[in-house]
Amino acid sequence: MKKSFLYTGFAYFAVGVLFLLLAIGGIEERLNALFCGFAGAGIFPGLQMMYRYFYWNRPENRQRYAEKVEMEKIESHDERNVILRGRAAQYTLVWILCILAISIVLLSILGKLEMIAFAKPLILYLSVLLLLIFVLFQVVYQKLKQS
Amino acid sequence: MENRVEFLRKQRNLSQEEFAKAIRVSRQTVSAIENGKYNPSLELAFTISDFFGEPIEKIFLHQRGGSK
Repeated sequence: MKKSFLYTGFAYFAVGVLFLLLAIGGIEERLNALFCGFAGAGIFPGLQMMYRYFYWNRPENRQRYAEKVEMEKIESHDERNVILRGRAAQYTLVWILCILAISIVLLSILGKLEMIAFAKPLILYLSVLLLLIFVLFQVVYQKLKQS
Repeated sequence: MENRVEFLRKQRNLSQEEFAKAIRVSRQTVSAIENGKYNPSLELAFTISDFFGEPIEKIFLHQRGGSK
């Protein structure tokens, strides 16, 4: 396993500890919950990465690690998996667009009936998001077509 | 498109996993090819052809004008 994995793990751990200190220090109490979340998200994955580095670099595990990496490489480059990933992304995109469009309509109705406050900014946000996703899809699609 | 991949693999006493490893694809892809659920790319078809040492047209049997 590459040494960069250990360094990345250590960086995660260090940033996590930094956020933990910020949370304990109580600089801004309203942000404590957020700092604790960042601390957890840094410390535990960091420790896991460092443990994995030492575990897979043991002489008895090196061969198994090489096989694991090889299998991962095959799985990620497998042509059928690549096609399926593309199809999954395509279906997900259609679902996201439908969910956003339905949400906009529902929010408009609820807003008009004065059943929810702040409907307008929400509708505006979702509309921009919907448009952005659609435009981004077209841009990426055209770029891929030309490449 | 029909193919003789399963027959040729079994003839060489290879498991799907061993064959998949040799041609650098996942075992599921080999299974899908053998069951006719997936037609490999031209590149993969040539890799399979090279592996078995048989011409591509003797492994993948395409009927012209037939349905996909």
